[in-house]
Amino acid sequence: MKDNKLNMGTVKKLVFICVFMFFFSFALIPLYNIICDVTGLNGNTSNLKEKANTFSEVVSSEKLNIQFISHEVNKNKLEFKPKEFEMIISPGKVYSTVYVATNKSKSKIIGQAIPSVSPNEAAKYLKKLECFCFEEQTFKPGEVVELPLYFAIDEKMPKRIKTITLSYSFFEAIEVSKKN
Amino acid sequence: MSTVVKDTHHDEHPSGIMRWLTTTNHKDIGSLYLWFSLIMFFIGGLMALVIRSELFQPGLQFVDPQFFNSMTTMHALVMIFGVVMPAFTGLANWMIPIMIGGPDMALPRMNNYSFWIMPFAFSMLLSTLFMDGGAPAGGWTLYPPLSLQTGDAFPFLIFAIHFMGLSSIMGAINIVATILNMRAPGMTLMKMPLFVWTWLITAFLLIAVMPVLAGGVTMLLTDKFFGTSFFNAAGGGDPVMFQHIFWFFGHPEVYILILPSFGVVSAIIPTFARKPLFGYSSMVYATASIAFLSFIVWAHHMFTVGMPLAGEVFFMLATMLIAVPTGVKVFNWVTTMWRGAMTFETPMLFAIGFIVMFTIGGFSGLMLAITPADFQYHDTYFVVAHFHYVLVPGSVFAIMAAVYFWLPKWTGNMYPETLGKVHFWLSTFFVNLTFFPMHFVGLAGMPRRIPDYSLQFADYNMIASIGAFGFGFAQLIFVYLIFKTIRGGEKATDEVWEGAEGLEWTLSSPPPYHSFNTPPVIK
Amino acid sequence: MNFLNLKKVSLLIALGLLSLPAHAGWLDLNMPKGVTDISNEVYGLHMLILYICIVIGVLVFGAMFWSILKHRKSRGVTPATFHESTKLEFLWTIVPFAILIGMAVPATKTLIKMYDTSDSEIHIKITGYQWLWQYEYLNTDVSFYSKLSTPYKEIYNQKEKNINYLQEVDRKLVLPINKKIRFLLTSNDVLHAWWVPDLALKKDAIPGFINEMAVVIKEPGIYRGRCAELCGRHHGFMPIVIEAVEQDEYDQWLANGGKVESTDLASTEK
Ligand SMILES: [Cu+2]
Repeated sequence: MKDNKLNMGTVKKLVFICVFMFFFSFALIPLYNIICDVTGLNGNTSNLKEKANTFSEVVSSEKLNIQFISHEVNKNKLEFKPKEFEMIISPGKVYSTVYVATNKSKSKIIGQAIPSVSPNEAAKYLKKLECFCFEEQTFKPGEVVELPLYFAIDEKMPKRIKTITLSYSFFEAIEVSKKN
Repeated sequence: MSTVVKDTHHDEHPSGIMRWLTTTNHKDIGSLYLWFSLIMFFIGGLMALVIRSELFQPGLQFVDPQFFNSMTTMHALVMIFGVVMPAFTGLANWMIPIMIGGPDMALPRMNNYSFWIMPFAFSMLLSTLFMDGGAPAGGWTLYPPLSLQTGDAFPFLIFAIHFMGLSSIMGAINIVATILNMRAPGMTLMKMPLFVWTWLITAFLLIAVMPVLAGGVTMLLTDKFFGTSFFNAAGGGDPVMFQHIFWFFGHPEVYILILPSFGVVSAIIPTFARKPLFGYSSMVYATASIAFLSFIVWAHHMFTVGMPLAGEVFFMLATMLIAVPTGVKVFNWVTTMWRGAMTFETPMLFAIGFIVMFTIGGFSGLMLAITPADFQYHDTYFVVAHFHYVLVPGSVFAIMAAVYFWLPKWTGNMYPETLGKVHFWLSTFFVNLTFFPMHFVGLAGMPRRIPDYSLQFADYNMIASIGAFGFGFAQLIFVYLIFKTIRGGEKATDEVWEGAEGLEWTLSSPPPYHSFNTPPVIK
Repeated sequence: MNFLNLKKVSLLIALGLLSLPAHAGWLDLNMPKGVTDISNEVYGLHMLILYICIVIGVLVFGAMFWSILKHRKSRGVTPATFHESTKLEFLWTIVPFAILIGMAVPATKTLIKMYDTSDSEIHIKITGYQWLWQYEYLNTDVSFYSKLSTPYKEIYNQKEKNINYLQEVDRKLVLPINKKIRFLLTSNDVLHAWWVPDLALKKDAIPGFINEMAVVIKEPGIYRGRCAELCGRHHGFMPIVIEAVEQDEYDQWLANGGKVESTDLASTEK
């Protein structure tokens, strides 16, 4: 029947839209991550390791505050704290600081620190040269470890941002390892 | 609705239960959808009454807070996916082939499947009420991580949503194919009744966004059971990402719930004003622009998640823009009424009620669009008042208007007019008694989705609860009236209403089993 | 016809509704003006839009009800036949558009002010838990949990409810007035939202991420708020109570390690 052919043609097109939109919903995830990397939408910092020489030249005379905070999902097992709360820094220059992890439990803890920056738009200007957050960490029972962080603030960051807070939330790897 | 066809059919088909299980007739399937919707309306309504009972007074009286959360979650899922969407699909099945002068839907076999998936999906959803860990209680928006704390019910919830989505996609494909391919010769697109137009656009919205919901909930499922971290910060995901996906579906979804009502009202107002619809083509364009805008406003549901300033401003402006085409519609309806010769039968009363109360919901929607003010409104009873105004005296009233409007056509009998008016006035009174005070408690600081509240909110919650029970009981009149009309009553003419225009009024009341076997002549 | 009478009756009922609460008062039913400059601006915006909506509503519904009264068949009118007017359509597209712009401009200005968290002097980290809040005064040793202190018996109706039912906590968040305070929000488990209407502050607490907002409180007093994002079974039972005090009182409180006899220190059976 002529009608049937016509209908099947329409159906095929519409089903194609459906299938396309289904996969589009999954494509939204990497798309979102790209948008976040470009705009700092959700305050997530780039996980890319920056090269040191990127920053050695222009050192701005501007000063700004950078604060370090942390959050541990289970404080009684693993304490995870910045050694210093605040630093006054100049954009363009490389600085370092240290987070201290104390395993208070009687077992080994594997986990990862997830960074977040506030205000969110500062996230893309925070460059990390070396960070414990790049990989999973293992802490032996009772162990106290100093974890170094080398970072710089891009001098392109808007001048109105005067205070940046960098937060690390430490998550145990039970959930993380399942993923990979 | 159902008994009618028996007397008039000319075809061979099985009788009894097999007839309904195997039917491919657009009128039978339309009736099935409408009956299903009516049953779910009372199930969802009962859940609402559980909620309103608990909120009648401060303190915990009747239910556990967890069960209360299940009630709000299930009430929303049932009312959205089980009542409003199937009711509109039912109306589409019944009316679209007739309105465009076609014999039936384009894909009758698939039509049957898409209906019968629904009872299956909802049995699955409702069965979660009896499961370990209770029914889903994380809100119908399913935000992770909370929704991932659901117990045994979780996979059932997700698969139920998949099946509902599948059913609506199949229904939408069928409707698009019908409208594009089954029109009578001479029925050009710009001659189609607005109900057909609004449904065509709605169907495209469904096809575009239901798969996105399916994708989103699939990711929830794999996050919970297969160790992915789409929305889990610990694994590099972001819980806010789910909200973006959800509302990318969710905002077009609210237009899916309202656009067909625009079509219904655009059919009823000219009929009873005895005057052609004002601005037909601008109505079509307005509908299309609302549909288009609905894709770029989703984040106004998420103003408090901490988006960058530019994002907040963009979504505020885009959202406010929707007021323009929506306003055009309201102005067009009012101008249609202007200098008409109006009578106020029940469908007209419901349609006027729709315009007034939907516009009130539109006003609160405009207020919610203003980002700084939204920080105060967000997740309060002000929002609850807003979306209930657009959905209850909005969508639900439009569905009721449509039922009163076409019931004489479907059954061949006039409904009892006085009783219909009583139903309208009681519904209108109680719906306002229920939802208007919610604006006040919301502004005064009452969050939504809480089973218990501080004392300053007590008075208005009590009023709202009384209103809810009144509204619930008033709907029994509707059921009684439908049964009475199906059984018999004053015979309806073919034209039914004095000012009626359109192909459905050229058929007999009730219409023959197959609508137009020979295409009608279009003026 | 009875259509008219019923409309009148429902209008009367609506008016009755508005005047009903004897002990609540009209002002308690509107958005609070609050105690910050920004909360006052937000209130102003809210009222502005409300009035614009009311004016539009009166015009549109006025025209409609006039039509309903005059253009009814029972009065023997013959219906007009017009069904198009490009002029009208253009007019009612462009006028609302202009009104919208008029609303968007002040709204954007306020929004920009809300997003300005620079030059804050006090930084407080707020963490949402199922179902309580943790407050950490950054760079000090003061850090504590704050949870509902309403007795179980009041919730289950075995005891009369006190005036601050469900909006009292064991430890208040003490803040100085006239100082810019910056809050950093995160969560330990699911989403929460920290909301205090008098400060016009509401933001989501998201596990793994931090959000920020800032406030300058202008008046000393007790300000109560609630968790605004569904967070599970006891979502309705995690209130926020702020005590805003003069600077020296705050300094003293802080020097004491944040330990002050709280008037709300009732039993915590929850
Ligand atoms: Cu909470």
